[in-house]
Amino acid sequence: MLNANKYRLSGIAVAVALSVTACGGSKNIAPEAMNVSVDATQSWLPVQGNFAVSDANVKDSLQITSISENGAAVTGSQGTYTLRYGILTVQGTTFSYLPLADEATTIQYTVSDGSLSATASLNIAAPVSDPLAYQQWHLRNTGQAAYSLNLEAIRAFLIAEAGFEPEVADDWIAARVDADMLVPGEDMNVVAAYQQGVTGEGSIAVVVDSGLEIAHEDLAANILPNRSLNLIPGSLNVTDPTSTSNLGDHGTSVAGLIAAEGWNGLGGRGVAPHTKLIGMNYLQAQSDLNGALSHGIPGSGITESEPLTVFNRSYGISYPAVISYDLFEEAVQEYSATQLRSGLGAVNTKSSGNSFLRPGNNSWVGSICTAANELGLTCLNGNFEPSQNTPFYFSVAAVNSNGKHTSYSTAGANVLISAPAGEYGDLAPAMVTTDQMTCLRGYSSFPYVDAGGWAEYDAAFTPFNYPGHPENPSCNYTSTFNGTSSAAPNAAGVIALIHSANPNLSYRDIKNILVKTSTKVDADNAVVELEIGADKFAAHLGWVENAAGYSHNNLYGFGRVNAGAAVAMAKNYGVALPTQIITPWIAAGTQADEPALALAIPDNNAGGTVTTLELTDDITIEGVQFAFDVANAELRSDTLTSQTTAGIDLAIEVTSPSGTTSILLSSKQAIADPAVDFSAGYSEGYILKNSVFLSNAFYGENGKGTWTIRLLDTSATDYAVTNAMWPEGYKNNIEDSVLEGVGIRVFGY
Amino acid sequence: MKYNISILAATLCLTMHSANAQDNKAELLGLEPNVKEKASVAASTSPQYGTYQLQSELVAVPQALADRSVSKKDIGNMTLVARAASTDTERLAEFRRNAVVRNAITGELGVITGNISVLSSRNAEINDLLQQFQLKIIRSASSSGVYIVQPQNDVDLLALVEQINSSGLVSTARLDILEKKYTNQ
Repeated sequence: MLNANKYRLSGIAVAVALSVTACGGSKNIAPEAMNVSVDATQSWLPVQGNFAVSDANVKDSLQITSISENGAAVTGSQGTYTLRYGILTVQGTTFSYLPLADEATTIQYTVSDGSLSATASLNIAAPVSDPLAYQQWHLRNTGQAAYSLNLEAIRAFLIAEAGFEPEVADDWIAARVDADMLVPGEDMNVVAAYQQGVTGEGSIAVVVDSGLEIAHEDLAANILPNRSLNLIPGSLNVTDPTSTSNLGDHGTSVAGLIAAEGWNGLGGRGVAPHTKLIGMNYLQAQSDLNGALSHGIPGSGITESEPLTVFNRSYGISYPAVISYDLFEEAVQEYSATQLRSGLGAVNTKSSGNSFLRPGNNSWVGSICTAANELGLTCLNGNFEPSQNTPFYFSVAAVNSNGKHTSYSTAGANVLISAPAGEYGDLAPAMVTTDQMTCLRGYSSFPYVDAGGWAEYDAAFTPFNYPGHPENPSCNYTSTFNGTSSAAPNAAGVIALIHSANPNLSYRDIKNILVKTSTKVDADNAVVELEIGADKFAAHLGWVENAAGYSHNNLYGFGRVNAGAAVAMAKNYGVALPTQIITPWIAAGTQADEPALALAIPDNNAGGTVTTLELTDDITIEGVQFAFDVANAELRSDTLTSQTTAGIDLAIEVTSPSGTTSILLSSKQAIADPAVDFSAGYSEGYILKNSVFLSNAFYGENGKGTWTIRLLDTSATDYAVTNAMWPEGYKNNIEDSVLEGVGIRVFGY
Repeated sequence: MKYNISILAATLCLTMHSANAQDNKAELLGLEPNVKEKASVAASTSPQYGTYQLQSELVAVPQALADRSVSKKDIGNMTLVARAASTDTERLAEFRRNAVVRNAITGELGVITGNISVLSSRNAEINDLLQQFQLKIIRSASSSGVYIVQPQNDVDLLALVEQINSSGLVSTARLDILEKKYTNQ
C-alpha cells in the first residue's frame, strides 16, 4: 500500500546559472534544479521520487551534494539525512522520504555536476496520518509519555484532594516515578516493517475476548463483515459481538492494538493496520464448545483454506496451584495450529499473565508473594496454566517503554516472546488504543469515572480517559490499557505483518522467525540466587544462550518482537522447516504407569534429587515438555490452621544434553493448593500431578542424549505471611517431598 | 476528599483491564485489600464433579423464560433462579442439562450444557462411541479427534461420562460447562 512517486514538479527553475569554461575547452553549463512537491504522503510510509535536475551538458554526471533545512546544511550518512520531520534517503538523483512526524516540510537540495551547482526546494506535504499515533510508543518510541506523567496536575491533586503537604506530594511522586522509563527506540521497530511495504494486508486476526465493537470508527474498515461471532446462545445478532458493558470492552481495545485502521485521520494505528479482524466474545460464554469454535473448528465460519493468521487470547486463569495438563485443550489447539490455513497453521498468541507480583484474584493465600517479590522472582508461573505449556500456543510477556520487564508480567520457561504493554498510564505509559465509542461507555467515559468514585483522581492521573480531553473528544480511545493483554495483541500484530510479508510460512516458520529476530532487551538482567544452607541455587538465570546460539530469559522469552527484522527475514525466508515430529513421552515411575520412583527431595538441600532421562531421537528442538508427579502428603486443599511450604519451596531445574539449563520452577512461587484438574478435582497430597512444564530455552539444540532433572527444596523455615486464610500461615514441610514420576517429550524436527 | 469508598472498593475489583491499575488510588484512599475467601467443595455434601459442586438450590433457565425478579445471576443466555419447591429433587441431585455448579477454583457459578467434550482415542472409531452410548455429534474437528457430543436422552451426565471414560473408546471425556473460568489477563 505504499504510495510511490506521488510528487510533482512545481515549475520554475531557481538554479544558479553561472557558466564557466571547462578544462577541455568546451563550455560547461550549470545544471538546473527545479522545485519538487510531494503532495501525497502517509506517515511512516516512505515515498519515492526524483529530484528535478537536468544539465545541458548531457555527459555531466549529476550528484545531490547537499541537503539543507531552514537554511542550515544537514549532515548525511551514506546518503541518509535525518530531518526535523522525517528521514530523506538520496541515491543518485532519486530520493525516498519517510515522514515520521505529521508535519509538512520544505527541504533545499543542491545538485552539482562536479564544478557547478544549482539549488531548489523539495516541498513535502503533511502526511496523512492518525492523530494519536505519535503517542503510540510501542510502534515508535520517541520518549513520549502517552498521556501519562501528568505530574503538575497530579501534584496539585495530591495537595488539594489528598491533603498532602507540597514536599510530601513531591516525595510521593518521586518514589513512584521511574526517571528512566521513557527511552526512545525501545519499541517493536514497526516503522521498519512499513518501510518494506508491509502493513498487514492479506492477514486475518481473530480477537477471542470479551467482545468487539465492530462499528468502532477506527476498526470498522478492518472488520470482516458477518464473520464475527456472538457466542452467547440465543443472541439476536449472532455476527455482532459488541459488548453491552459500559465500563470498557477489553476485546475492542485488544483489536485496536492489532489492527486499528491506519492513515484514516482517526485515533491511533494498529501494528498491522491493513489486517482484517474477526471478533469472538468467548469470554462471555465459556464452554468447551465455544472454546473449540474459537479455534476455528468447522461451524465457526472459518474455513481451513483462508489466510487466517492469528488468534489472540488475552485471557487465562491465575491460581496458586499447578493445574494439570489438559489433553482436550491440547487437541483443540493442535487443530488450529495444524489444520487451518491449508495446513500451514494459525498462530495463537496467549498472554502470559499478570501475576508476577500477585497470585491472581486469590487473596486468601495472603502475602504469599512477598518473598518472590523481594527477590525479583515471579509469583505465579506461566506454566501453572495448562494452555500455556502445549506445543501450540505462543506465550507473550510484557515489557515497558524502557524495554524492561513490567511490574506484573508473569514469567516462566514457557514464555516465547515479549512485546510492549507498559504500566498503568498514570505514572508511566500504557497503551493508547481503541475504546468503546462515546463518553457514555468505555474506560474513557462518564460511567467509568463515576464508578471510580473519585473524579478528581482520574482527571489528574489519567486525563486522556477523562471525558473532555481535547485529543479524545468523543472518548473513543483510551491511554490506560496494559497487561500481557496488550503484549499478546501487539505480538499478534507483528505476526500478521510476518504473514503478510510471506503468506507461505507455517506457524512454526513464524515461530522460528520470532526466535531469530526478537530483540534481547534488558541485556544485563541479573541472575537471582537463593542461599540454601551453605550452598546457592540460581532460581532465575537471566539470559541464557543455548547451544544453538539463541538466548532465552524466563521474563522475556527470546526477547521483544522486532517487526522490521521479522518482516525482512520473512521476505527472504529460505526452506520451510521440515515436518514436525512430536516424540512419545519418555518417562519413568508413575509417569510411565510404573511404580513410583520414591525419590525424596531433601528439605533445604541444594543438591536435591537428580534424575536423568535418555532421549534417543535425533531431533532439532522447537520446545520441550516435562511432566511431573511430586507428592507431599501435607499439601491438602482442606487444611484449616496452616498450609505446608512444600509447594512454595519446590524448585525444578533441567539441563539439556548440550548443557543448557532452564529453570522450570524457581521456588518461592505461590503453590498453596494441591495440583488440580477441573474434571478430576484436587490431587490431595500432590504438589504436581500430571503437571507439565514447557521450556522454550532449548530451541534449536539437538534433543538426543541425557536430560538431567534436579528437584530441590529451597528452605527449612516457616513462611511469614499476613492475611492468609490459615491463621498459622505456612509451616515448613515436616516430611520430604517425593518425586514419583517424571517424563519428557520433545517437539521439533 | 470527594469520593465514595464503597463504590470505589467495588470498582477496584471490577476494572482490571489494566492489570492492577488502581493501586495508587487505593493507597490514597487508605483502603485495605479485600481478602477473598477460598471457595471450597470439600466440606460440602453436595455432589461433586472434579472441582465443580452441584448447586441443587439453583436451576438455569433461558433468560427469555425467567422471572427476572428472582434471578441470581446470568451466565451466557441463561439465568440462574432458585428452584421451585415442587421440583423433582432426585433429578436435581444429578448432573443434568441446565444444572448449576460452582467451580471451587474460580468461585464462579456455571451451567451444565448437556454436552460432553470428547477426545477420541487414536485407534477408536467415533461411530462406535456414538452407537454404544446413544450420542449425537454437535460439533467436531475430527482430524484432531475433538468431538462435542450430546446424549439423545436426558440422563445423569456424570454417570455417562464415567462410562465413556471407562469404555476404552476415548482418550478423555468430560462434562462441558458454561462458566466463567477465564478472565482477561
